[in-house]
Amino acid sequence: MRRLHALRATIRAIERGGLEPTCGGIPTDHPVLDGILPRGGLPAPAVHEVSGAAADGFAAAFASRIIASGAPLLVWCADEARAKRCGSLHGPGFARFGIGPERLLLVACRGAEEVLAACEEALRAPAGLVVVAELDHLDLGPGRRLQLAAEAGGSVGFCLVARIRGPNPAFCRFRVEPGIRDGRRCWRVDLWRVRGGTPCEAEIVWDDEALAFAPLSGLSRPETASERAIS
Amino acid sequence: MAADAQARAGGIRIGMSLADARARLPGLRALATDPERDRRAFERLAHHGRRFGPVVALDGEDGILVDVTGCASLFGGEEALRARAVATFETMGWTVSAAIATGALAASLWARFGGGGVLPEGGRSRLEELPIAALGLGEELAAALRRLGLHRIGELRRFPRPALRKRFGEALTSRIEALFGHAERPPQPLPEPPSFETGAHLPEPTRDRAVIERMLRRALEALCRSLERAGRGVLRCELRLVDAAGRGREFRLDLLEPVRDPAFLAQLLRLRCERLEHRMPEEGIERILLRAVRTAPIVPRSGRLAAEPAEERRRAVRRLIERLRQRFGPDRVLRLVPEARFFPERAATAQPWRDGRQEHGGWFAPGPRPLRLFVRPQDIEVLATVPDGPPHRLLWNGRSLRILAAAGPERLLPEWWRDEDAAVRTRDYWRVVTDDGHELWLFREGLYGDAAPPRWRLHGAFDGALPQAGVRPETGAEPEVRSSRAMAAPPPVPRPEGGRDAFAVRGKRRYGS
Repeated sequence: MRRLHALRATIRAIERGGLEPTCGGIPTDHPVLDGILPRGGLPAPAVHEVSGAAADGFAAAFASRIIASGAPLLVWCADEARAKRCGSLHGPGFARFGIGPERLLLVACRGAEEVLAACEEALRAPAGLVVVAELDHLDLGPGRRLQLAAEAGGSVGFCLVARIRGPNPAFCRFRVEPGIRDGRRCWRVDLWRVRGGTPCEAEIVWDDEALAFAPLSGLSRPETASERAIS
Repeated sequence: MAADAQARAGGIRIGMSLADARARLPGLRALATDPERDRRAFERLAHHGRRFGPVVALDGEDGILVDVTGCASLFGGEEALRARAVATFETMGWTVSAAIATGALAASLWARFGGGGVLPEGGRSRLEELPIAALGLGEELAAALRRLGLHRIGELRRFPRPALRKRFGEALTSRIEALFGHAERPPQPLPEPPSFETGAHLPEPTRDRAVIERMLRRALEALCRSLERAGRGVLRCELRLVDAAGRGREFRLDLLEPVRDPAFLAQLLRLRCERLEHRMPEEGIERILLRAVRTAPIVPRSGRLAAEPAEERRRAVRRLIERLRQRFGPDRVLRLVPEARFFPERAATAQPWRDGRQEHGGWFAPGPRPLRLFVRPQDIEVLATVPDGPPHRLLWNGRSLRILAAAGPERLLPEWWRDEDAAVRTRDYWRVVTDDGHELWLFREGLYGDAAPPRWRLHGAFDGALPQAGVRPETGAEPEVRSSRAMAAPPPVPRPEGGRDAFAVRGKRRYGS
């Protein structure tokens, strides 16, 4: 009986060729965040939504972790509207996250429809990729399609949205803003909706050398005023 | 060794040494011979001769023989055919001499030694004027015949054949016989290049997509079967859908690597047709023509039942890239290629994705670089210590931001060796942190003391987004709105003094614009 299960698992693995369907999460190395997130880390395969000013950096940081744990490629579905507003994607900016030029595939899309189509196509490929899509917002219907595609291909998707509009089936919904804590730059991560977990907030720093997250503090305490000089 | 017309005009002669040749013509381009490659190219060229006759053969290393029996009338006469052939090859860049004659050897000799042209049936006697060397029997035999005072083929013919045969061998006599029309062995024809074409004829014109796709699928399967027999895969294929009125619409598929899977090809063709927004013609499709225009050999896969997961993943990635290329166009599926240029906007170029390993190494980032870069840096106003000090305050888009810390300067000089950089000014880049936590990249263009005053510009943001109103999420519909959170300005921070290595030390304040 056990051998049958093992055989079934092997066949599933061959069919998927990527991450297991119910694998664990990508750890953030932040004790509070990892404790709150189901499966001990960012759930994969799944689609997550990230909003806020530091969304790009946050997604790139997670992509770096996912690539480190075996994903072959980062597919970035860029929308030209966003490039006009905030500037276009700069390759050397990924050096900070340890993502080399051979790991990055850029799809230049025009409009939300194309971005969603490219994102779905990339998520569905049975290769366990990490896909970033630049959208204005994520609706219920498209979100569900992306979620199914991610599960089919064993991939992780990040939807960088400019604004929140209504519910959607993203597994985790983050809002990431840049901030300063104790004289250091950090990201104020607000996980305000997570499936099967409780929302929380945290402050996280990305360590360029170790290519990993480092905790700065647990739940934020906004009253603290720093007296030390910014160093 | 060979020299083209321009080289010969410049005084180069065959047999000259390369050094001499270069001394005569300093701009000479010397290419090494590659006999194998030349032969293959020549074979490909020879197939063009099929325009003029059904059978094509190679004649030595520099000749093409085409059997034009009965074809002359299609071109309006033998002379017209000959002229057309010469024009065709000359358009391709070749210098040719062409002749039409009865018999392969006669035509070959006439083209090489007789000056070309049409040799009528009755004009064979003109072959007698050709030199004996034309027979191609070797230098020794030709020298021996010269010593005997024989220079032309016609002189040889005067002798009785048995005597010639006994004296000079069978080769000579059989050549002469072949030349004058007796018992010639036809040349070995060149096999036709393989062509992969299939088609499907629908019993009646239809607009039903499902029917058309089914027929297309069958045609693809037939095509892939013939490709498999040849051990090749499709690199470029053309699909032609012909409607009942006879009008056709063509779709071309260009692939990165050879493909032989009919299901995958069907998917790619469908994506391609969708991209072109193909509209079904009114009368419906009647015929499907499928042709593999370019093919390449496929390396056979390993014989294991289940391939390695890593290999499967790579294959899935390649297929995904192919699908994206067909869906969005090859110029929209890109990779960012690093270039070793100083100015950041030149440090990476977006190029269409091509297969193959990249030898570029990593990104060219001598210092920290932002994730997003404005294509045209935006003008801002900055309060900074003059002349080389860090910025303290930034005015952009009507917002005034206080800078808490600044790292730099990273000085980037223009590429003075390029003419187009003559008017470009030196940049001092600063990585700054504003009081709301945004990390920006700005630079001062030009130095104080230059003829024109320096300008400050904003080039990018390190986390990808800039401090502007449009980026903050509107949270009106969500019940979990937390508007009292510390998203507003943080508590006032005392003035920074001194700093660690990464941040600049503030000096005496002097206001500069």
